[in-house]
Amino acid sequence: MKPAAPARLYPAALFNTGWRYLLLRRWQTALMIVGIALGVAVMVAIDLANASAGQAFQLSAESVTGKATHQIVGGPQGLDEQVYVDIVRQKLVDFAAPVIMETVSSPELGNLPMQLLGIDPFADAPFRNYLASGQVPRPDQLTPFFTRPGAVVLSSNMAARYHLSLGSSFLLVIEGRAKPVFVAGLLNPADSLARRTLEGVLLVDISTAQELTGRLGKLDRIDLILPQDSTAAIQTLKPRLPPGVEIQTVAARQGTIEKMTAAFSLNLTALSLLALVVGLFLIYNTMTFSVVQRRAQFGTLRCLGVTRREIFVLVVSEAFLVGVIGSAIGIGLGVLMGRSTVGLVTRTINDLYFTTNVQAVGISLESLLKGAAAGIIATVLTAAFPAWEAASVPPREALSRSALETKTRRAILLTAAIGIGLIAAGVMIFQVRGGGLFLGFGGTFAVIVGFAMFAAITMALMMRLAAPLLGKALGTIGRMAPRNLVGALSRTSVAVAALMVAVAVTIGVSLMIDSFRYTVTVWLEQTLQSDIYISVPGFNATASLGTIDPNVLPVVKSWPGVQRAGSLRTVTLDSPQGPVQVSATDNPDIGKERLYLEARLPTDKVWAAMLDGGILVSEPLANRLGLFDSNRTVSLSTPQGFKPFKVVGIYFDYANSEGSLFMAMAVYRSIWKDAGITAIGIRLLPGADSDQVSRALQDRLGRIQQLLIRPNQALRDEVMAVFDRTFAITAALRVLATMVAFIGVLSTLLLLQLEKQREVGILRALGLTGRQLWGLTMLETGLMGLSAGILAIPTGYALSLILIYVINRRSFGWTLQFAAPVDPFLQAILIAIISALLAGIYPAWRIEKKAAAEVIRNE
Amino acid sequence: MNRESFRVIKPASRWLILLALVAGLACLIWPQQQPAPGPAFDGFAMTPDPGFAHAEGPISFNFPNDFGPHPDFQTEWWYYTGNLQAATGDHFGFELTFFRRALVPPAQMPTRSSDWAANQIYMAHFALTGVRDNSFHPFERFSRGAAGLAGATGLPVYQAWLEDWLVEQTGPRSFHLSASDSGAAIDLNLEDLKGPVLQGDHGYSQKGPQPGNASFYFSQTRLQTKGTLKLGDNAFQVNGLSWMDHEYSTSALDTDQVGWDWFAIQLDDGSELTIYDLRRKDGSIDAYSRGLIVRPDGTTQRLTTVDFAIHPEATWKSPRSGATYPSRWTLSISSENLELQITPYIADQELRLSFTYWEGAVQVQGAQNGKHLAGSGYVELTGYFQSLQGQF
Amino acid sequence: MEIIDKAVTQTNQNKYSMPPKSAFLRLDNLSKSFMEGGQKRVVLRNVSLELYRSEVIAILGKSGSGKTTLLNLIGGIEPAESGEVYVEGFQISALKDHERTLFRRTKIGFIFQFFNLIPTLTVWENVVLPLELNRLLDSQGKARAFEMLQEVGLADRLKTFPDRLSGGEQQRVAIARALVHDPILVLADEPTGNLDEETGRQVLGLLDRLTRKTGKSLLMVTHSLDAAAIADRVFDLRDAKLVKRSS
Repeated sequence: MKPAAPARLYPAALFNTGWRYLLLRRWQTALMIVGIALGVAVMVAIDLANASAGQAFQLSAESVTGKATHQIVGGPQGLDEQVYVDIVRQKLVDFAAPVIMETVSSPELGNLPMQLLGIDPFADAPFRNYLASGQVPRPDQLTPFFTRPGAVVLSSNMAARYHLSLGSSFLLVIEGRAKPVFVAGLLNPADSLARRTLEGVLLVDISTAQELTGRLGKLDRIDLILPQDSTAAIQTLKPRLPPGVEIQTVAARQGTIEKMTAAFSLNLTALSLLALVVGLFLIYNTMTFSVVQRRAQFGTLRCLGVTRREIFVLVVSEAFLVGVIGSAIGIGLGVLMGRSTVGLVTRTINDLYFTTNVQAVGISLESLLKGAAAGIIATVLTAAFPAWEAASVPPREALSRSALETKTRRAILLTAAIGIGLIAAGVMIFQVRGGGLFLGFGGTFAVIVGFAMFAAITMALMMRLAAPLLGKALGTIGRMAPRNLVGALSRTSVAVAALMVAVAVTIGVSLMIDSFRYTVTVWLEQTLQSDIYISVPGFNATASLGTIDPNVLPVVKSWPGVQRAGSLRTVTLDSPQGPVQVSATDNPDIGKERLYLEARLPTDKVWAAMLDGGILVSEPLANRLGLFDSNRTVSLSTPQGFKPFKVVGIYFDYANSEGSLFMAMAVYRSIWKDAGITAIGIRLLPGADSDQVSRALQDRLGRIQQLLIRPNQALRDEVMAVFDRTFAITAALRVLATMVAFIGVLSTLLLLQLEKQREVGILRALGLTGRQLWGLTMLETGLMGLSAGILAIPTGYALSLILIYVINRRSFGWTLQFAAPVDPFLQAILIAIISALLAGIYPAWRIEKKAAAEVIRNE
Repeated sequence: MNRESFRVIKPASRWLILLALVAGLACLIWPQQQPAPGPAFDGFAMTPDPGFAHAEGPISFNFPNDFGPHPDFQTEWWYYTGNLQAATGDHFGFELTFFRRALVPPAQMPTRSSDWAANQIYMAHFALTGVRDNSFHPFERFSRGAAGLAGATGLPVYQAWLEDWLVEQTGPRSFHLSASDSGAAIDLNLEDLKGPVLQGDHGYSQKGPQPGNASFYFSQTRLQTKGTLKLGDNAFQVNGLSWMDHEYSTSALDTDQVGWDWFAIQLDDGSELTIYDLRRKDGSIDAYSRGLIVRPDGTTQRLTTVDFAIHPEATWKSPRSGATYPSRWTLSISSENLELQITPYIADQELRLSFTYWEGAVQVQGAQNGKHLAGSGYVELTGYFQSLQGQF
Repeated sequence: MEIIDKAVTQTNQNKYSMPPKSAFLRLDNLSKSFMEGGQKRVVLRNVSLELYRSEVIAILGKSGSGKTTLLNLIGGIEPAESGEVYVEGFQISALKDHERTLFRRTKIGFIFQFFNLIPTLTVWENVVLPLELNRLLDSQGKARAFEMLQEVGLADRLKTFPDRLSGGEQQRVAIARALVHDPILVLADEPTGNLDEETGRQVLGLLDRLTRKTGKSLLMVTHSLDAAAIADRVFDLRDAKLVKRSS
């Protein structure tokens, strides 16, 4: 039999000591709460944005692919409609539906990207459910939809938003050409999912779609619903498909894009976690402090017969309480912040990945729960160590603080050793081949914590150095400040670690953005060699795939001042590994106008190799398809079936993260029989003014087609604008992490100084002036800031290397050129010192105000 | 008014089915689950166009061209039904019907460059009745009369099809039918023994008092049929008789009519019989109800309500729709001294498609002038599940 | 730990009626030393002592003489180097840490030099804390706690937090806390060490009266002769040895 039943029911009095302690130390508690709240808020905001982007993708995908399991797709110009008719007349599959899709916009509909979805209503019902419920329309109401050109059906919500009603005419801009259409029907989906699916979708009959897009006789794809075991169906179907027409699973098609956005989302999540990590250092710091502060009390409780476990639970429950409140506030804050992050993320996803026609989606409960769980669990876990420390307080009145500090000083070397171990572990994790992003972040975390472990040893060493110097300069106070810090190393080192991590995150992210920007600038200089670029306005910032009217090129070629007009055809072709963006160029200098990660030929031999069927692949594509061994090829779907193309070089490319490749125009045209062009690059004769020529061309070509005609510099500016948009959210995260850090330092210093009041009272009694006390306090905080700043330099540097060479490569497949300007480092040290000094102001002011006796009696 | 002007012939009910076609396609596009408040689809309505051709008097038909479509008229259908026997003794009934509806008069169809631009909508019903296993298998399809997905031709050869469901002429008097869906299939060759029979006044069939409110209508009442039929895992070689109705018109319905009971009977003495009752809102039988006897030599005799009487003898309640249909009849034609007992081969031959109606194979026993007669046929019952009132 | 349970039952049953001369606490050759600056310093050497029911013992000694260490050994807070502590016939050193905690919780009341009230708990909550820890906070327990507070004269300050009390008042609360859960032994470490003379005397009087009234044994370490005056027996702890002072 066990001695008197151990705690089943937790003694209420212990809880009382817990929450009253929190109340009593309002400042301390408030700072903890703010720390958690900010961490959680950043996480929730990012998660909401990610969830929203994910949902937007799902909904966009749902509205266009519906319940299809497979798709039949053709080459760059789609597939012959006869393929569908043959399938249906022979009834080769139970469910097949023709689809034509185009991203369009309308000046009357806010110029937002919208999905023009051409369908056959008779075949489409099993695929897409536009009305979850509803009444049957009258037959005569459907007549215009089938018979009249330009008949468009849209949701009544959208119509109401843009003040359209039945019969209203408006213009649709499709590949730069405006086409008149009219509202032939309004859909009132009864349930919200169907409503959201229809958001941004313009439904037209397949005939109307062919006419509006000019794809007469063509379909973009055929959607299929095949039975679970689709092998037999595919085997029947495959031999009956003409060459160049492929059948593939919808999952494979969407998976590629989903994987890309998932990497982007995960990247953001991880950065948001960095903010939480900084917040957790703050929690750890504060909890440790509160435990140290209460050692005597815990000793008494232990004497009174409180068990270790009860003490542990006491501290953890305090953390839990703080975690709950902090998370709750964080969620509220996160939702507010989410409003702007959703916009930023959606924008980036539109720029980089796919055009979503979903503008806003609801707040996902899952994101909120995730934020709450992360906040509470992380707080409790972080508090576990201090709680364990509290539980191990011996049941004796008080182990003197000096003993604890002695212990801490002894542990300095051990901590540093653990730090080295963690950093080594992190670096080893990065070596794991094919390690995903998760491993990458695990490694990052290990390295950061590893560096944080150096806080104590750095401080001890720095103070040893600083004491004599400061002593000479400032006398007793100068000697006292460093000793005080070392004397309270158990707390000061944690505070310095927290501040250091925050500052390091700032440095790391800054360096990454700077390197990225630098890389892109260099890349643009090398890549954009023409003076003027012509393309069809699109919705994806990095690639416009609209076809330029054939009448444009002759006009451009004969334009005065034009030396040479090169053309580019960009299409998406299928490979066994998913769609690949292919650009066919007639620029013989292409070999010299790229920066190579891996050149397999001298640059002047590249064009000849390309005319011979060779291709240049971008780095992300090489990553995606594993093209780093020599003699690798990329298979592309041609009208004669899949055909391999030899890789003759891998070039850096930051235009998209899915990857793209270049081939010679002559090769492309001979295989795909596609004379279309997507972009024109113009070289001007010396002396011609590119702005002037652009304007003149705009006037002339506007009559043929609405085109984007941009001088080199304008295009460059736009790319940089997209770049900055992409990193707007990252920059915002950096600011938030810094804020959390500042609050962390503020709280730590505040606590340290307030705790020292008695000691200060003695000093005061001994005759130190208020000014001297002020100086002492500021000196202490300043030294802490400096320590943190100095340690943050290597940490931030390491972090930026990780972000650039590990995280970004795994997220986007981009290699960045590392650029390390001095500014971020100086900025970081400055931030550290300034926040430390700012944090010292309040305690210094408070101490100065208090009368000596009062300060002493306070104990 | 002459007798002919009062003829409202049976295919009026089919006309309703055809109208259901367009409503039904809307069902397909926007499947109906629960009634929602407010209209779920609001379409841009066009007023009915007067630009379609109307049947305004007897014309001369030109076969095989007139087997094909008449796009100047708004609606048209090709109706094939038949009773088939397998060597195993199994008895089957089949129905394969193509409906066409023009959306706007051809002259008013805007010029469209896409092959898919459609002015014609096609609907088809295919149903198989398995007597031995008491099974009934109805199917429905829609498509557009464009891009080769569905359509009909008269020249160079008569064809009507919707996806893989097809009827085509294969010789001067021979036709081929094929359709399949979910384990039910027919592949039949039909030989026309009597040639087209013109209904009404030489094929001109008036539907109401107003001139022009009429259709053109002809039938093939005795089509010797041979071929294969599949049901589930079993395939059968079958023989039997089929019936074809083809009608086209541009006209509206009389709103007092709620439904029809239509009978097409092939007797073993070589004669055929078309009779139908037109049921009015008040439960009475409309005076426009008509009949036609096709004698073995192909000559015809028209019948009016004074000549015949149909007495329902039993009813059957559909477990699916809840509608109660008559399910056995006594038909007597006093002028011919003929009395027939008409019994469905199986009770449940209800088609619950975008339009709910009963159309099924029936068995016929009877006597004429004391001489025993037997035969088979098809009966169509409409307006029992929902009143057709207000539907259109 | 059947024995403790039994002991608890026994104590409760035999409240106030224990024969005064039965030794329930026995220190048997206790030794303890500390390492200080690389040198071993012996604080207790072969200390033996027996304590009887309702007896008050004072141990006098200078600062650093090992008085507190002796209390820690008895309370099971620190282990002895050699020798044994027996409470009601069983060995404290044989208990696991958790069991020693529960032993303290039920059997022992502590009074400290610095009072050591829990600052975040009110007077009332401080006093009922041992009851709550022992799951004895029923109406009977509450009545007893109130009674104790009346005894120490603070029944009107129930909702006051310790920082509003004077030193003497705090120590009186501490006495109530030490006795409220009916321990068999009260260990007091310099109970008057932090009080002025007058207050110290009052607190001692209270301690004397209450322990005797409730039939508790009291082991008090102090350097104050005043404190020693209330004791039945007085020992000096000198040179790590316990020496009885003749009265």
